[in-house]
Amino acid sequence: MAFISDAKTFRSNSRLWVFWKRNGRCHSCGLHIRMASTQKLKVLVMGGTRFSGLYLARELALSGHQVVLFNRGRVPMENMKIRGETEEQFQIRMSNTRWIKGDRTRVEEMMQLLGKEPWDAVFDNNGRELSDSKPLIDGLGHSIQHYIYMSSAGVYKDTGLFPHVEGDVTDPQSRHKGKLDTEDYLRQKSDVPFTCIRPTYIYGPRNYNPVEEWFFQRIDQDRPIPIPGHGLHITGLGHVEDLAKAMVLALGNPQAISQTYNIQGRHSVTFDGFAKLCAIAAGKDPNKLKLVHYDPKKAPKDKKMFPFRPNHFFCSCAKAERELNWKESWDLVAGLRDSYENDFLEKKKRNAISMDFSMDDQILEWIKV
Amino acid sequence: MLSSHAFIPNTLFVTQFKKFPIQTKSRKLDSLQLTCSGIVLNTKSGGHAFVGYYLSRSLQKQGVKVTLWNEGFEEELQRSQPFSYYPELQSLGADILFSNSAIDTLKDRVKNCDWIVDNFSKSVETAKPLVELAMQVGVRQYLFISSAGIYKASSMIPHLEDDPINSHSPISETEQFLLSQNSFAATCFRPIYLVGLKSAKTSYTDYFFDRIVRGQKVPIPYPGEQLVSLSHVEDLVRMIILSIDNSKAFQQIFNATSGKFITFEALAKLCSQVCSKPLHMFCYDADLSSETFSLFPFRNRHFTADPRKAQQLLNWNSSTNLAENIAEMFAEYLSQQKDKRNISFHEDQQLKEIQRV
Repeated sequence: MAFISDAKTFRSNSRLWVFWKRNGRCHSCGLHIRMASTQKLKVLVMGGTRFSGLYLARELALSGHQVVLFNRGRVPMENMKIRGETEEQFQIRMSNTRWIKGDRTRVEEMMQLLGKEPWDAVFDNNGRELSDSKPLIDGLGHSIQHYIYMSSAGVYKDTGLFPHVEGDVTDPQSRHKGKLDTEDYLRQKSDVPFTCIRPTYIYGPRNYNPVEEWFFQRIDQDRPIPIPGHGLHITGLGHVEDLAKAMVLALGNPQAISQTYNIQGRHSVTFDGFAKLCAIAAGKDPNKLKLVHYDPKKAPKDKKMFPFRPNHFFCSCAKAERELNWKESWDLVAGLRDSYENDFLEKKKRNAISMDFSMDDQILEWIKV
Repeated sequence: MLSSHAFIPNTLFVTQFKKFPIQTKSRKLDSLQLTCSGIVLNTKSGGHAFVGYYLSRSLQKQGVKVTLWNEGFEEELQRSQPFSYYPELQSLGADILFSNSAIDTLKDRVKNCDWIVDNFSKSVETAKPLVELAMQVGVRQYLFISSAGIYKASSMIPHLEDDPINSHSPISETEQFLLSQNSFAATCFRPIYLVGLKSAKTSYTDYFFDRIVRGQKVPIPYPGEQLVSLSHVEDLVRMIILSIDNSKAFQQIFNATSGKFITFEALAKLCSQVCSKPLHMFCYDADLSSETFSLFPFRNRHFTADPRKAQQLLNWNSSTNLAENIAEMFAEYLSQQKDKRNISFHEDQQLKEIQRV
């Protein structure tokens, strides 16, 4: 099953023939370089300190753009260093990165701060409701080249046909209604050049959502993995770095204006298969993994029990591949290993992993009965 | 690991390009219009049998001369579809032949032909004489209808062309054999389940129609959420036509599916909507009953493949619309009075007993 090789070559978007190893190092000069096929832009990133914004900020800086982050300043600068970056590389790209301290929930203040200078592009990464993003769209949208909105594949309606593609019907009742409202608002605004990005599950080092971590915890402790349903549900995931790269490829790309793109890996995976891939990433034998299936409708309920909902949920990103000339550089095997080695193990060392298996024990007990 | 056929190093591609020059006059860019002639070798049964009919029909309508060879005896085959519709092809100008040996029938009959579509070979042994024929006739391109069944089953879906395959299966050996030939460019297509009117194999939908119209419970392998790919045959036909004399298709393998998948359960529901009758289903443990119950028409696993490579290289797009396609097939089902047939459902009954339904 683990068929993807270790060494992957990443082909940059530009017309230059530069091949990258996974850590993005140029073979000859050792520096992190990205060949930007677009002009250098002054880019405002809302947030940019947590997960997808973090990698986005880095990709933008490496592509030669001037990056300005707008956030509350809760995350110290040194925490923005990403695994694999040397101190020197980090400093170089941070010299292209500025920070405006502010709170996006304090709208008037925010617009005052942001209104002081012109922007070429805005990445709205952490808006949930239309009310979060409307002030930005209304205030800045007409004067910028590109407004890129982080939406979610959760807006798609489940019609029994998969994978989700960009033209599919959306669900006004979905949990991501706010994202859908914001997308629709952008579509209405004829003077705002926008792109919407719909990822499925994002994973990778620094994931604050315990997706892969949930599995690593149990695998690490050699515990059985309780899986709701039959384990054959298909879920789509994408590595955070690939998502960041797609977003940078969309930036300034005339073909991307007014378009929506699904972003995730080429392959999606069953729940059972994902558990086994996590075991492989952790260097353990996937065949020794104990997968325990249970009926989620009848079992004791806890929202945080399992990271995926027991439904098929995956997309095709063929449109992004075609129009943005984007390709994943992290397949699931390599990507999960990246997350395990560079995040889980490191967190475990500093005792930052919660090893609370009380819900698991409840379920396992309940199954026996 | 990239299997050898999936990646053509630049130098090899340049060589291949030189070996197989495109006759640019024969293709209008990005168009289905062709002017060269060819041979279609067709199988006599199964889910792919109607590909020859639809392919020949499309090509003849464009004015492309097609010689459609079919394995078997005309008298026998013409009693049932798709062969019963062949007179239509004849009136369009296709040359239609039946025999048990393509090479014997065609070797002196067809000269100067540009392409062969092989919808017949299932192994290297069967392909060998056809490759000989191809060389004799001097075709530039050999297009082969392979199968996505050669992909190794995986928990990762959908299948993409560089996914691992069962390299020792006769069909994958045939792909390799054809791709390694020097006298023509090869193109391989990997379809999954094909639907549409005039098919020789209607079990994909008859399984559901038979039970739904008679108020019988429909047995579905647990859990019923397995994803399956059903594509209209015209999707494959258009992909083939876009590949003929298209250098972007030379030495390439394409998944030939619509790109959209449906669960067993959702398919059953769709059939019941089309039949306008209620659906009663039950899930059975396929492992328990693999020997006694063999009627379910699909492999019991997720079986899907993605066609983005064809979209990208050939500018191909799917036209499958399952709701419409299945509605058409139900109309055909009724017109053939299949709803009036006497079916015993004794295997279903046995299954219910074993599974205690």
